[in-house]
Amino acid sequence: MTATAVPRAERPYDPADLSSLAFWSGTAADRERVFAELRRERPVSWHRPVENGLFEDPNDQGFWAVVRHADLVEVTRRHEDFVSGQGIVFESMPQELLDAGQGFIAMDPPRHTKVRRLLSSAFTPRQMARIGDRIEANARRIVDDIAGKGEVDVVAEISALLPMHNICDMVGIPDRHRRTVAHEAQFAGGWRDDDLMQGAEPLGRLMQATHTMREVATELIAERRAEPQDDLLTALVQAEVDGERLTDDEIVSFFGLLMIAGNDTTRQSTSHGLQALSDHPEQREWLRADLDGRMAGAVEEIVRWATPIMTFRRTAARDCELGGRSITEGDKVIMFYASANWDTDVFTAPERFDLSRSPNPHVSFGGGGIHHCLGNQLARRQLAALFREVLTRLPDFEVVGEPVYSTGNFFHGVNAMTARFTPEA
Amino acid sequence: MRIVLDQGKCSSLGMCEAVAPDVFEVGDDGALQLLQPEPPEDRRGQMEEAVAACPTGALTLEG
Repeated sequence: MTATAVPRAERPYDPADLSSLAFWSGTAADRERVFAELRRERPVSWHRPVENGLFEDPNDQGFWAVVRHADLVEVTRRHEDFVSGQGIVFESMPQELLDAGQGFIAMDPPRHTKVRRLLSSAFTPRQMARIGDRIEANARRIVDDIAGKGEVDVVAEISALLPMHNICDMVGIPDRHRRTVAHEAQFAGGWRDDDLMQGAEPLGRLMQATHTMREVATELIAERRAEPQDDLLTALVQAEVDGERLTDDEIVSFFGLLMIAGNDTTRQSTSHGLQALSDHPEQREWLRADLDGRMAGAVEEIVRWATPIMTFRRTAARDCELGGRSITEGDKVIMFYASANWDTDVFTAPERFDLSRSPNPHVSFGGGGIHHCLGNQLARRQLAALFREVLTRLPDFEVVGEPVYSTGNFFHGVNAMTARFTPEA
Repeated sequence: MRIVLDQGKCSSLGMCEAVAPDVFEVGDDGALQLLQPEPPEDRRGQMEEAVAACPTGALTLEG
């Protein structure tokens, strides 16, 4: 099928609403109804610009929505047609913010390849095995601190702490900065959320968060220059790309990316996972019956179920085709991960939380390609360690009441969630 | 059977290493090394799995 290119300004908008704040304030189930219709009838569709509220971009005319699993994988792998260097989130943003938080995630080859390699050695299976004990100890410490309580806010006392300690251990962030950095990192994806914002003006608050991260990073960079340690910050300070040291601005940007990608993803998967295990006691018992044999597959299903990142953007680098539609150079192309993870062409009964699901080719870590989640194995290990600890020590762990979900189009966030259990003796 | 690695495509994620750590290893410099470029025939199934696990298509099997 060959489509005729329609200039961006004249292209009619799809009637389905993926752009309003109302759409992104609803539930995942509400959104899935819209995605299901698009997957079935209009898998690559053109939409009005997302309701922004951060930064008015007069040149933003809309975006293509990619909702099928196969198309999402294709966009991810065609990194020469669909580039990241012009931004990886829906919204147009001031360049200063893009520079501060997106690090190599918003780079294209060849620089992306070289820069990413600097960090990849810290995330390999061998390295993960080396720090496996530490990850398990962090999970144990979190459960130690809540085990006697009987009731907790899951997000504040479990989900936020698990990735915070692990990524901070790896990067080399001392305890005194951890909570600040993990809190400020949330604004990158959470500036639409009223609970988080507490009435602050979004752009100003985001700039403030950026400033705080820069201060912490700059202090630690100076410390590592003076006294190298065995951590990622030291590796970045000492690294060379094409014979040149990274600039402080670049290191600050990688620091921001590691904090955002390291904290706010596993945080959401932990909360959604604990909720799902609580909502599906038969699944939980099935898993408890053989933790060693079933945990790896269970983590995959939990990560599919959670889909912690709901969207990523690419920008068309040239005129090309996708799913029979003509894409014009400069068009924004948005991939909808929750939709792809519910695609019935790939998943049987995707609405079922099935810890035995196999195969499980979810796209929660990406659809493959050069930007595939660097921390995927770290995330898997953390989740397995935490769920094992909770299921073993707090077997009647139960989420009570309705969780408070966050508003936004990037992270599938949970702000607060209460759980009860019999306190450990 | 021979494993062919395209270093230009490799993003050093180590998905292959997770499948077969005695054949693939991402070194401390971030570069993937083939510890056994020609693994024995009885491991073909596992090698196919490792090649398929590569998100960037940097690995192929020859022979």
